[in-house]
Amino acid sequence: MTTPEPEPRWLAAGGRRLFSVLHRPPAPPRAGVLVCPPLLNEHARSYRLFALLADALAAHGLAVLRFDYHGTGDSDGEDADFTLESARSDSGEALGALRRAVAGAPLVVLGVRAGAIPAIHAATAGGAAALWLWQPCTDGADYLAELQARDAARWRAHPAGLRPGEAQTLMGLRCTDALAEGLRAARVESCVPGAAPPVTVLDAAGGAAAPGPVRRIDLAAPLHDWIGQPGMGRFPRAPVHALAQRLAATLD
Amino acid sequence: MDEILHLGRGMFGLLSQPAGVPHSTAVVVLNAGFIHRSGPFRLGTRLARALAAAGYPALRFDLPGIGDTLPGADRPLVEVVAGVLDRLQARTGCARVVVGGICAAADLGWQAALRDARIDGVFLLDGPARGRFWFNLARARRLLRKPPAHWLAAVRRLRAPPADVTDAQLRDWPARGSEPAQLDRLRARGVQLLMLFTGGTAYFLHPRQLRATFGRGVRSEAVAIEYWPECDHTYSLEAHRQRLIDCIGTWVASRFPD
Repeated sequence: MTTPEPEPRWLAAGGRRLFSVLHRPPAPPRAGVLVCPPLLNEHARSYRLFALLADALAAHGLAVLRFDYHGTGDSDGEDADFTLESARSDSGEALGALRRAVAGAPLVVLGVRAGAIPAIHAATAGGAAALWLWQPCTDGADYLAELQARDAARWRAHPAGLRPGEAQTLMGLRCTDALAEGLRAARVESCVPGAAPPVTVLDAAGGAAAPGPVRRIDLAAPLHDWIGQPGMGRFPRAPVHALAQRLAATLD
Repeated sequence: MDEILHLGRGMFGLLSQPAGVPHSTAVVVLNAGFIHRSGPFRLGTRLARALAAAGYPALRFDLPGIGDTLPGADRPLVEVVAGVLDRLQARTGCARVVVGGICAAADLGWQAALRDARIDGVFLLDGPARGRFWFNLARARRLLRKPPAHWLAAVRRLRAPPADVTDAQLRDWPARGSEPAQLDRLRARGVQLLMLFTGGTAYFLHPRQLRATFGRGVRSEAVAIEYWPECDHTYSLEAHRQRLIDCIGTWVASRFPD
């Protein structure tokens, strides 16, 4: 089924402008899905994947809103403005915008990698009907350590022989003290102000266990191995469409 | 301030607009490979906003099959760019356009400038360069500056079978030998060029490669050349990104002051 063209739009978030794209289904949506993107370098690396997934979910009757946190991507703000606290706030504002766009349809929040942290917060505070967590990093300190290790390995293998020598950067992007401290303090338990909605975890087969009783969907290789790859990947559409079908079926 | 500009056929872009009276030249930042319009480490967004702050409207968008532009290309990319320039000029009123970017963006910028007379400037960041002799000479010199332990490994690499695919095949470079005449065409039209190479390519090590690729025209005043061996291909360091933004801003301001 052909979906309408994606609608780029600005979201007002506490006086700040967030760039977003709304993917509408051909008919009135049966649910709205908010995508909380991953952080730092993983945002750009996965951008195409979630554009394709949003389009595929729209073909299954879901409205999908994707957005960039303040200080990232095409949203307003400087790189140094991005913090985990602002990401939580932005996610809540974006969920409110999606709620208005889908007029009464149930809401789902999809958190990708460390985007799971603001996603869980938005879903629980915003009364979402379901939470989808994509290769989630729900312990911010672990995530920070993982990125630091990956960053160190990247510099060791750098083809131009570069050495970092820059404070407050991680994987080439600004990681201020505020962001690092926010990540170190972030745990799933501290992100959940109330009862969480039903959770579906999407991960590689044999991936990390998620807390609590959850539904689990195994991701095909092209959909999970982009994290550790050095270059910018291209994502085949077939597994994206198959996954969208499975995700949409969880809402039946 | 950025605004959304609809470009037709499912495409849109982010147009960074100057706060005051704009110059009559707009800038288009093309995709660096498959990276969406924000660019590596958000370089596209920051470059566009810096240019707008200096008075130049600057557009970034996704080519077909990249980022938010979901369908693949159904026509040559130079035609896609031409359509984008139509929309950009209609919105900004800018008579002149500068295009460019990193890697594949440099290749496309070059081709688009050859086709479209509205393009008066191209910035090529790790753009095309051949001149194997000069490359090998520079590589040999660099090797001799290293301890002898490195030499044996280098000899082994040289004796290995040649790579199946060259940079020119992976990229969309002009046909070998056509570059000098193409540069002459651009110069005859008054097109300004910034050719900037980093240490992050596998094919550029010596400035004489440019003469070997583009002929004598590369020494004209229309061509500004920079070689930053200390930088990598995607400007991983913040200091390098800021240097690049400053460099392009200075070049645009000096070549397109109106």
